[in-house]
Amino acid sequence: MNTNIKEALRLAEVLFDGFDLVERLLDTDDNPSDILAAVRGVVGALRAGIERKQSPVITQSKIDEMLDDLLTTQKAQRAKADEELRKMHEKPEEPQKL
Amino acid sequence: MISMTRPMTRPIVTIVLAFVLFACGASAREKTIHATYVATVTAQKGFQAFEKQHEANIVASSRETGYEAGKAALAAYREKSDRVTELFAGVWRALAAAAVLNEDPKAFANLVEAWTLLQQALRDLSGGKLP
Repeated sequence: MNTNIKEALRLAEVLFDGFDLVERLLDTDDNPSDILAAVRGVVGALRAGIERKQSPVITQSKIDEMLDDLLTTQKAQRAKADEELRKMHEKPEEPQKL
Repeated sequence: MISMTRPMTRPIVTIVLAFVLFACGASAREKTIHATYVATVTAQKGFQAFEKQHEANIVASSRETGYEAGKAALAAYREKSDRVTELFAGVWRALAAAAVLNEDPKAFANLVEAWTLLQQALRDLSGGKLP
């Protein structure tokens, strides 16, 4: 797996653990309710944002899209390589004799 | 051609891995499916970039070797590359099945097996340049 993706997934795990810890701490009774609400809001928004980023909904249409991209890109790239090969070895036309 | 070293080991590893994945909670299975999805998208983009550059290199080197040799080199490369394309298609189908049949351990086993084969084929094709 790509190192950046591995790192991103690891970071997301660490953040989730952090959120759980903050939520557990917030469950204690000795914090003012307005601060609790504010912090809960921030934590909730961050968690939702990460979940959206980390867990794209996998649908059949997304998979079909990727398969289509695989085949059409390959076809286009191959056609281009064939064309470049042909052009490279094309003999220049001889000038017409008058 | 895909290396088939240790043919008995791979199915055992696959079954164990599938069992571990199934034994994990639903959240862990979902994370695995999503991680595989992201990894497959990344691998496909890498493969497409590699293929484009590799074919351009073949065309460029045909200046020395000639048109027929260039054409033959492209055909030989594409024969190997087609196998990778088939394996990508296999992974996408397995991924779709695993995403739908989230509780089915067989769907996970198929996904892990398809991904293992694809990874090996990518390494063989690129001489270890692709992950």
